[in-house]
Amino acid sequence: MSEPTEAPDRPKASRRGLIPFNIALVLPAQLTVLSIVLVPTLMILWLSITDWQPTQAIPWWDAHPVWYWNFYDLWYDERFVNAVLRTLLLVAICMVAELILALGLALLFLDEWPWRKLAVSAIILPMMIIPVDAANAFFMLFNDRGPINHLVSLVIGEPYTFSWLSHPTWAMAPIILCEIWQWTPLMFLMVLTGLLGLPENQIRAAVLLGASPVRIFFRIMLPLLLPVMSVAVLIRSIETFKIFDPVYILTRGQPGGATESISMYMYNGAFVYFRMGYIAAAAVIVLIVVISVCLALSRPLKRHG
Amino acid sequence: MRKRNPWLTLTMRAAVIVALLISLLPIFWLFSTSLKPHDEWAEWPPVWITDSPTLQNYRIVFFPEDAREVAAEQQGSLDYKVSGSAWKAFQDSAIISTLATLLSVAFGTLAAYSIVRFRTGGENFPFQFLTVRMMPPIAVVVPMVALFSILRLTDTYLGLILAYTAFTLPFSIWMIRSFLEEVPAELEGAAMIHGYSQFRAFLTVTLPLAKGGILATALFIFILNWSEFLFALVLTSGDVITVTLQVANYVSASSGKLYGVQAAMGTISTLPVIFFGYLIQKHLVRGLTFGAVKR
Amino acid sequence: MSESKLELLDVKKAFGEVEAVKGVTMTLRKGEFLSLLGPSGCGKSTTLSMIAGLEAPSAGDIRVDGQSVVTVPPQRRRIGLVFQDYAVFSRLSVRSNLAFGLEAQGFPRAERRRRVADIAERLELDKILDRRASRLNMSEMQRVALARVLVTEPQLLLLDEPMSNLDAALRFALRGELKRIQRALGQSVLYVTHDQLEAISMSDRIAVMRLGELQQIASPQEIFSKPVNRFVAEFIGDPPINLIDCRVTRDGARAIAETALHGTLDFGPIEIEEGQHLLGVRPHSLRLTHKPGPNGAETEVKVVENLGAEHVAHVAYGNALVAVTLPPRQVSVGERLHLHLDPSEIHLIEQGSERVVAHSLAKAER
Repeated sequence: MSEPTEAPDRPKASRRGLIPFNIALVLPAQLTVLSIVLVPTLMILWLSITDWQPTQAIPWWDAHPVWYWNFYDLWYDERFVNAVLRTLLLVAICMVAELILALGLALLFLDEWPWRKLAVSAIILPMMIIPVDAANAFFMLFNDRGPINHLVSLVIGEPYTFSWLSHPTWAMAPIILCEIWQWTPLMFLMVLTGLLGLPENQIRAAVLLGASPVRIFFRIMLPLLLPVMSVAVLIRSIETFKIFDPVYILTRGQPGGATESISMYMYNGAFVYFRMGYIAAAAVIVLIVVISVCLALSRPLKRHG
Repeated sequence: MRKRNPWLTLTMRAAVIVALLISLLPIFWLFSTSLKPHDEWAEWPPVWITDSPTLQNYRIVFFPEDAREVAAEQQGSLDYKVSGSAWKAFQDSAIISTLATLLSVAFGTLAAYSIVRFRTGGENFPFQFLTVRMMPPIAVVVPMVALFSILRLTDTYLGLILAYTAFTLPFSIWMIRSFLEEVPAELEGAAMIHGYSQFRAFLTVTLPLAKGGILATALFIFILNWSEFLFALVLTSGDVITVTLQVANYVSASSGKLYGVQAAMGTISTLPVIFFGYLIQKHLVRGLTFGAVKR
Repeated sequence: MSESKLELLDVKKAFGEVEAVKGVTMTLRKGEFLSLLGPSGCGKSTTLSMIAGLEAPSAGDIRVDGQSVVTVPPQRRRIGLVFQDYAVFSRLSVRSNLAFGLEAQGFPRAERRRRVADIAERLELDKILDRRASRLNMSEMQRVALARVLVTEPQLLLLDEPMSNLDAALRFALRGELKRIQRALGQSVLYVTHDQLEAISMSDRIAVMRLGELQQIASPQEIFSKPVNRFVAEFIGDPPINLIDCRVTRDGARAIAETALHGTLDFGPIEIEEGQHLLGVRPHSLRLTHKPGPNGAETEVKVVENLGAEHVAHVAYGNALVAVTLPPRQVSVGERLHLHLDPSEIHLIEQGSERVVAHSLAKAER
């Protein structure tokens, strides 16, 4: 009656009934994901080789195929290419800024001091705000008659009423700052968690060997933090790559597409110009890029454990 | 550990204060503007703290029909008919977010349990759910619009609930998984020796032990749903309106410079999120990193 | 004999209400191997932290080479510490681990290389110099931790339970190794441990601590044969010392202890109140014979424990049992034998103060 081969921590699901118990448990989740994610994904593969537009008044399955021409056009579509490059640049800027700020902040919160807990709660308030509202606040801050311009006026001593949000280059600043402002707290919490979990004795050992705080930080603490920081940067860069809400609220990609992120470009293409087939092709490209980047990044990450 | 250089301590304190000021400035501005009377909304130099705080902006948010009256009291030249009452937005958001959260957490708990206890699908199975979160929603939104219009889900509660459930499932599965892993399997084994079925052991032994974590997950998912914007934007066309859509409506109407009303809507729409956010503060990092970084 | 390397003068440490170290005074001589021995929570690790400078003492003074170091930051004390968990820099190579202290202290590159190569050879780390420290086994980690500290030629080497993560065979090998290195370098070492075997086998002297207080500081032999109190007597020795009830009466100046088996024992003119006290007798100083003799009394063997190399017989003593060590297979359960005391190794422990007031019987009795 004994079952010597059965590992106690991995009971076998009972096989009574039509579907094994463990499969039945994952079924609702799996079916939801498949129907809401996989089906549309398959649909864009079809749409991407058509020139379907909802305004054509023909159903999408009867759409006229154009084969590879959408992809060909995208390759020469400066607005698309720029949106891709702009988004990548934005991700890079945000990651570097968030990481440095988060590290600096976390170092301030390493040892105990009065009000420390309250200060942490206040510092992380930005990440609790609805992204649309954060953008809403930045919309007002960077208004030509807003407080940012007021502060600049106070510093330079003369009235300054720059129109940030309608300038082709500088309109990116509020978008990037909004993103950094909102998500540095998350990076900060992750880095702080990592720092507080560092093996204390390695740092003590370094102190006793005569190392300065700067040397300890760069030679001991930073390398130890690397796994946590790579997870943080990986997760944050995937999220930042999808940036849409602040762009929509602050500029909608204007003026003239100068502030379009990939998501904003695709939104404008699909829901302002109604070029669904063309945007589906763009979506295929984005999905391929995202999936390959994830695969490339997940391998070294798994190695870190 | 040891006494530090007092100047260093002072610099560090000063840096914390600067960080706090930057963190709080946008939120302060949002709140401060929401209390400003109409004539201070776009004044130059801007008014930082109003001398005559008023709740008129909140009144307009909830009773847009009163706006004409308010407008008459002021210059009367403003177009206040930007949108319906925020009541509708709060009601729609509450219904959609709550139901989507319940579905997501229920499905997520079952799947997470199966993954933790039976290693269902092997090592890579949980990762396929993560890919859902990695792909930009905008990439699947185009076909979803087409699909929803055939299924008559466009502009319905059910449509958004399904979309939200699918896109928060990776969070609930991964987060609940990390909580369930902390409950020892032996406890269920003990219950099963006394004749409980696997499922009953799960319901009566494991679930109560993990309920704190599952509740935290639910609040976290609720926050995500309440804050969602892109799906709400493309999958509705006026019948259903969420709070984020309402906020966006006010902002886009700001060419008429409705800053006060816009700020009032911004302030109250984010309050529930802040409240829930602090309730689950210690689980936030775990949630946003899919359980990878625990506290 | 030689000058002192480290002096602790009435050093105290309190964490809030809790007094972890309650006024420790002791001296470590130059080139000496001193063990700080005690059960966990006795304040020995806190004492070590204060010497290293990781904790500041609440009161008292710590001197190295006669100079107070209390205000010197840990970076500049030149005191090496090997942590219990070794605290090897896990993200660096073995070579970088060894060179870390030299780099931090600004040694020129050539000198660094020479010293690292030298210490690596001494501790047999030269084959794994380029390995990542996180891939080392316990014994390699221990040697890296030791080498990393030794290479900076510290004034004083502190070792915090460095063997507690190792298995028995490795411990034995490393005890000899550590002692050899210490001798060769003439290094002053303070060795913290809760394992009496380590302390006895390696130390020149042992300091026994309990509940934040220093109990006794003496050579291993003296600690073993002349413990100052019941705690030291019980803590040292394996199997542990036998404690036998006795009743002391005074005969003029002499103190006479009355036992259940051996009648009266004369301790001579010592200070002790009349009444119930304890005798401490080590299992190794007792003998069992078939024939009667001086200081002998007949008793019955109740239990025999096999420890491999030796056996421990538990024999009746009044209502209690006492343990006697003896070579294997000499006695069996139920046998009636004569139990002999060694008059030069009987400790009289005063009830209440728990001090050992006598280590042997009066001379006349022998």
